Amino acid sequence: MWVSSTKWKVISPIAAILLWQLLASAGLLGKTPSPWQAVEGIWFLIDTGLPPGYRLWGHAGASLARVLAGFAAACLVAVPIGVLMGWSKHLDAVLDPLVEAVRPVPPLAWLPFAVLWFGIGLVSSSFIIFLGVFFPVLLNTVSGVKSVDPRLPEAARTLGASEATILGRVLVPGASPSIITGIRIGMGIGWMTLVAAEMTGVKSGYGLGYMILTARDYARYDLVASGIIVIGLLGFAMDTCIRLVEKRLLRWR
Amino acid sequence: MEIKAGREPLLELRSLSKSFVEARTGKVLEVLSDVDLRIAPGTFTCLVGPSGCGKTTLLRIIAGLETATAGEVLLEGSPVTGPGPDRGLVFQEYALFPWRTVLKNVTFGPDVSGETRAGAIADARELLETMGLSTHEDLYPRELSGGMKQRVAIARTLAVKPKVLLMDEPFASLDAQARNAMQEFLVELWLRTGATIVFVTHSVDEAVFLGQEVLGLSRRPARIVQRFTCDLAYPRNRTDPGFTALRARILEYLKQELVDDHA
Amino acid sequence: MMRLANRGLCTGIIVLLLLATVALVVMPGCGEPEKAAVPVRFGILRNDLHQLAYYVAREKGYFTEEGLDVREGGAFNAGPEEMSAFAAGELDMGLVGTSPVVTFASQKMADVKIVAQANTEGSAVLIRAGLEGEDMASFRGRTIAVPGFSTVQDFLLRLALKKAELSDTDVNIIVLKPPETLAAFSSSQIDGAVCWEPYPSMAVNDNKARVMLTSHQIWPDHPCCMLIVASEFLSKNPEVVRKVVAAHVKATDFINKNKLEATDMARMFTGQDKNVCASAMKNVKFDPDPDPVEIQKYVDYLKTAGVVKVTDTGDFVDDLVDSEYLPRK
Repeated sequence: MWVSSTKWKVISPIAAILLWQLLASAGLLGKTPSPWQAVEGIWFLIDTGLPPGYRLWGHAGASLARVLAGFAAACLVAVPIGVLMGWSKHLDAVLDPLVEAVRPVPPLAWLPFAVLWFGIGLVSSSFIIFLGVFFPVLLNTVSGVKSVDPRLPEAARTLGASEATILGRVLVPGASPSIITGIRIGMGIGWMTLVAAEMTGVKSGYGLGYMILTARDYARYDLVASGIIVIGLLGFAMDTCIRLVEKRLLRWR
Repeated sequence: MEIKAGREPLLELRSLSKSFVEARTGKVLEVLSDVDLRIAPGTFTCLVGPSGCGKTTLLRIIAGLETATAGEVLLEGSPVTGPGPDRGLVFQEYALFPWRTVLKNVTFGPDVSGETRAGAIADARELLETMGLSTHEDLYPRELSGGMKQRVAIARTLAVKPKVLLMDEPFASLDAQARNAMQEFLVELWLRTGATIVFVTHSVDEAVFLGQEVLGLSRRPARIVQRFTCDLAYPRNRTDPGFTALRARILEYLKQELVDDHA
Repeated sequence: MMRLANRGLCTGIIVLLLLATVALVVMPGCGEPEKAAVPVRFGILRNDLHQLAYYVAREKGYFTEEGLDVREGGAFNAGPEEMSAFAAGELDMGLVGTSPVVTFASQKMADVKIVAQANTEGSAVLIRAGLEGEDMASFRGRTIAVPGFSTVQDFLLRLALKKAELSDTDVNIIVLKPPETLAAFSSSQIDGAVCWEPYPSMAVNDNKARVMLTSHQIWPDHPCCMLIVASEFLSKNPEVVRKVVAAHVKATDFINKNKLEATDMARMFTGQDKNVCASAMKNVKFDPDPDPVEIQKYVDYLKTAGVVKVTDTGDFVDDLVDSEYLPRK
């Protein structure tokens, strides 16, 4: 079961890379780098760095810190608010229009304000990622709480639970499958907003998105491809981590 | 066993009425009308009535999950204002917490009321023992059969030591065999513990098998229109002539009730 | 009969004329005179005073005089972005900084030729208002913004640091697009920046920063913005290119001979007020003749930085710069 599902999982990336290499070898891609050039690029990033001296680990570490900070902040804010909105029809009615009005704004549009409020640095780029992660987590939490079988809080009430207890020990665990789905979607969007977030400028000179922009400035499209691959791998690794946590937390399903 | 009239009732309903305003049509919908009821401690009372007549609403009002439009519910003389562990409610669809193991479902009540953990676990294990669930305490609800789930739900309710056990068609979603087994199990449990049980069902057969007293409800708005005393000895036998006669009598009444209503 | 036939003919002509007018109004670009001029997709940098010649040529009708159909193909925030558009084949000609041109051409990402120059000088190193310091050494340990790596400004900064005997690691160089740079000065996020005009004049005018060094002080007559053309477009339309270069030179002459009016046009082009434009104009030298020897310095720098792989920088520049299309003097 596990073996076969792993087998299936690697098929599509390998097929995509093979197709990519095939097209490149056939000379059909023009200026687009080949997978092999991208891999060489990764080695260049590890060894020399871009700009020279700024090596891959520094970029990956800085981006990871930004994504995790924005992501963690978004989860810490979105889950409690989402639980309250799912629990209270009144609060939902009051906040929903605001949420729906702000949600469609692309995180990048906040960039000038991000710089104005938080300067350029970790907080500013984390804020942009925060905006990307916040809404999927919030909306999934709200819908998760709303979809909890209404008899469960009632049962808890007849067993002597207070409203606060019901929030924490019935609605949150009941909504947890949906919350975790929101967190997974949010994590994906967090990585997606990273390049935009790092356009706010990075004081340290490190960051994968920033590195991709630098590679563009230097016309090193092979390194752009390397950066994309690294972001993809990191995103995949983090999603796998969340899935493992999910498997453990939701083993009751 | 016999109901001792005149003894101070454990649970008392005084001219309880309930009506809703239907959101769509704006019409006032009367569900309960002037229900009076006195339940003595240690008794097993069954409420039967046509489906959708308001039996569940009645039980939910007693549990405190809904409020009456008029009248009041008294438990040991004091009015009921909301849900509480002194009235345990067992739902038809079990309403177990799917993320908690069998044992943790049973300890939920003691946990939230701040009872010491060790004591709660010991008590819960004892309850599970009597329910025949000892070997299942680490399973999750999805891994249990319907009958087992309902036994866990009953154990979870008993764990908070309620003064009255309210059961809302608890065996309705079980298959016939499991249902019979659970009925026998419940009678046994009641005989052993002397709990006060109010049991709602639409099955006359079940009511006659379980209750000391069977109360017939009318169609909506529900009123208690008939009382039947079942003085058959426990455990009851469905082929016993007394049993079949009583069951026929109640069925006849219910049929009448439906005809009257249509007339 | 004759009269009727005539009337019918007249009506027909009128209807045709009306239809033609409608077609012209509804589909500009489709209804142009026969033998439509080859459209030139032209790229510029947003708010870059160096590229004033483009605006002058357009507004004074120099392009039209030459029978050209020059269309704005995009206004970019920094040179590398414009070069990406050349790499994608989205632009035919454009004005852009020498450094991004050299970078993209040497990486073979964009196949372009330099056919004229827009200006030399015209950038400045700024230091945030309120900070002490008279020379580059005072930037030690501080944060300086450039519009992009491999831009002319990035190059100027590294040159200035080298002159002050500072290394790249003694300061923190970050990338910020010029509009954000001014905001970053106000919120004290950066200590210094290198920008093209009119941004230095804007910053000074708003008391956000003061000029520490003009680019003239760092490297006199350093090549800045170039008029470039995609090689494919050049081989297909050499005459169009010659005419664009002619219009560009004419506009550049106009700027140099009519400073007052040019300043007024700079006001329109950059959207800045008169004071800013007047001060900015003083720092830019509009000169259409590119100097291959100076351009080679960029290539040499990028080569030593390990960014580009060029075997012979002299040959590379000879191939890149094509002065053939400049009007003979």
